[in-house]
Amino acid sequence: MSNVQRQDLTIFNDQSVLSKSLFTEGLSHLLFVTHRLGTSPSWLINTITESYIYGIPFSLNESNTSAVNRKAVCTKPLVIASFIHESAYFTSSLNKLKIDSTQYRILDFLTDFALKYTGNPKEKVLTELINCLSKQSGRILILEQPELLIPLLNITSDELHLNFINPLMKMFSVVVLVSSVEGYENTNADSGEYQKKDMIDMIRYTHSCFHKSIVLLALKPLDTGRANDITGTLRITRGGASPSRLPVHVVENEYLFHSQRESTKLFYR
Amino acid sequence: MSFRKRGDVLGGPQRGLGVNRGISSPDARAMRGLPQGRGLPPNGEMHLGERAHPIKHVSAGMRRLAVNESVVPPSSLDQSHPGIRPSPVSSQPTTSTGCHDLDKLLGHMGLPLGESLLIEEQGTTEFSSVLAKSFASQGIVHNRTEKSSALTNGNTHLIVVTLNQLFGQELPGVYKGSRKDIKKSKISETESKVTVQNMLESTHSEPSARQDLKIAWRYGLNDDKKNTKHKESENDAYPDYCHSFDITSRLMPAPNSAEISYISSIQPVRSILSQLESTINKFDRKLIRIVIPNFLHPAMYPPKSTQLTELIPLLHGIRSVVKKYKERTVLLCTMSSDLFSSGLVLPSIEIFFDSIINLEPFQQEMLEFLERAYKSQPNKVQHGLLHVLKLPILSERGEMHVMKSEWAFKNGKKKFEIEPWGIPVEDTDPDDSKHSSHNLDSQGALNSSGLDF
Repeated sequence: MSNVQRQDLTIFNDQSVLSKSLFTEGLSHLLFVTHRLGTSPSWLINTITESYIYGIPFSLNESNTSAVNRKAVCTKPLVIASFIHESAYFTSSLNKLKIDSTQYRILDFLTDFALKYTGNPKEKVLTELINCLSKQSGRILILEQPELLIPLLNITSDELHLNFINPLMKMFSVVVLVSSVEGYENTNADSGEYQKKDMIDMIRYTHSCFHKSIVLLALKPLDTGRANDITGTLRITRGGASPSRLPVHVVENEYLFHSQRESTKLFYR
Repeated sequence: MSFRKRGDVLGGPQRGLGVNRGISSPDARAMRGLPQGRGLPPNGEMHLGERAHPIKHVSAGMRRLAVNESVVPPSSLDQSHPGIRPSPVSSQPTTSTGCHDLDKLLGHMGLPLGESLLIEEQGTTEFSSVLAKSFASQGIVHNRTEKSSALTNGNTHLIVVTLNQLFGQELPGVYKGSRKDIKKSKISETESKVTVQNMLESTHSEPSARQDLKIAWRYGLNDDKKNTKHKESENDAYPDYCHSFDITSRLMPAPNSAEISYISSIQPVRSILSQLESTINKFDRKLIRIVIPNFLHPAMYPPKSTQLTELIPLLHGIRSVVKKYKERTVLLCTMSSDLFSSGLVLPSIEIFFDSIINLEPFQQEMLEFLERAYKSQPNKVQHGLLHVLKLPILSERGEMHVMKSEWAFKNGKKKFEIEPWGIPVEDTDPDDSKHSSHNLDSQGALNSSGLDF
């Protein structure tokens, strides 16, 4: 792949990753990032973070690497909340990108979560989580693997959407949901007639996210097996939410990407 | 840009120019771990003249850049722990899994601290339990490396989440060599004892030994030593890092309560997690190895534990504990993947582990084929395929490390070996081929005769 031209990531037709028009007052949008085994979304989370803070993903887009003036354009901090990673995981990767720590807030919903909340009333826990997130006063939220709340609190996917994701969408202009769909792929193989409650909830959660989001960013390994110079594919497709209120639209595209030694390169498929 | 003139002598009065890199300031010293007595004198007696300003400026900059020490939790683990070495990939402290080949496969020469490893196994074999027991034995052997304080203080503690309270007594002992080697070591031991007979023998045998050396030199018999030098230098740096374990022997004496703790797997999630955390806190300043053998085995776990509402809180809590004490904790878990091949259970479990390997033992036909192919070298027969699904740290970064059918494993008395997989070419004897061709001919004749009506 050495002689193949490297590409810049653009999601919206104004050549941006996160269009400014997404942050219009009174509107909220959902971006849905899915990943599978072998294609961790850490680089995409970093890209979204950089795009919000600097307006450009310096670490990914080749045409912007020469830009020396890394000036933050955001007015409010970005909020990252994860149910699978501790805060040090994000801090170290964002420090490597030389992102000022005042520009983001990290909420660790992994450490001691099970000890603290297992067995507690689910409504109370969800309210506590929402309060915790609302205190951050950010405009964009990256929420990693909220689907884990379904088994953790023994709730249904509908309860998760109604009592957690929908209130968050009212608080933040942009909510980026990052979910693993390895299990979802498995559920499709089974007969629909005998699916268990867990499976039904997983399917409902994923389908609801597809319908609510304005864009789907799907990371998956190559169908043809492992390659040394390609990690997987990033497919950008429009989601089910109506983009009529937005002056921009999603540019559907599929990239090949290669992650190695903490750097990622994109190529056209 | 260099401040050194061409004629300046290195280490001379201009030596203090190292300050351009900000090394001389006390803060920077602390960062780089330099001793206070080297480089510029602390009282600033070095005549730097106008260059003192940039020094102040640089040191102030370094101070700003320096990681806030109050934020980073101090590592309570002893840095001279014999079972810890830096990872060649990420420089993170890493400990051995008790299997040299697995250490290499993981890419870090072991399992980095704060990381977890899941070993899945297909079929009904028990290869994963060999790895789990080697992992546990390695911890106990590390603990006993400093012999004087092994039972009182120690450096490693093992936590086993299982119902089997005899797990500690089933651990394999350190491999002491083949029967020949054991005999040789016994002979050398008796020879080394100071007895009259040995003294007499040694005086007689001296010339012959010299003669042997001469012959060895002439025929280059000592050349092997040169080849093994590289290996030895690696072993010398970390001599007690990884051991080979003999699965036919037992670790003697069996680990005691100061070395191993058991947590029952049939308790409520909350009590398992609180026991786990209290045990880690009880053995502070020790490396904690957590082992969960045969996770979700129907004989050891109640049926409800496979429900996601029970399973996910447990794994979420265990991951939280491992990450919370990441400067001194590692986790290894083994489970059967065949029991949960369909549905959400296995993908849900895999989310919580930083590294995953899957063992797929060969079917009987494949083993027979390999035995035929390696007729003259039976030691080369592999026992199954090893699939890599995740590697610690590297997969989290987004690198692709799913490697299916690229590695094979074989289990022996001495060690569990992992090597690149390739289908061997079956050597057929000329007699066999003649025989088979004759058979074919006869079969062909039969067929043709069958066609003639």
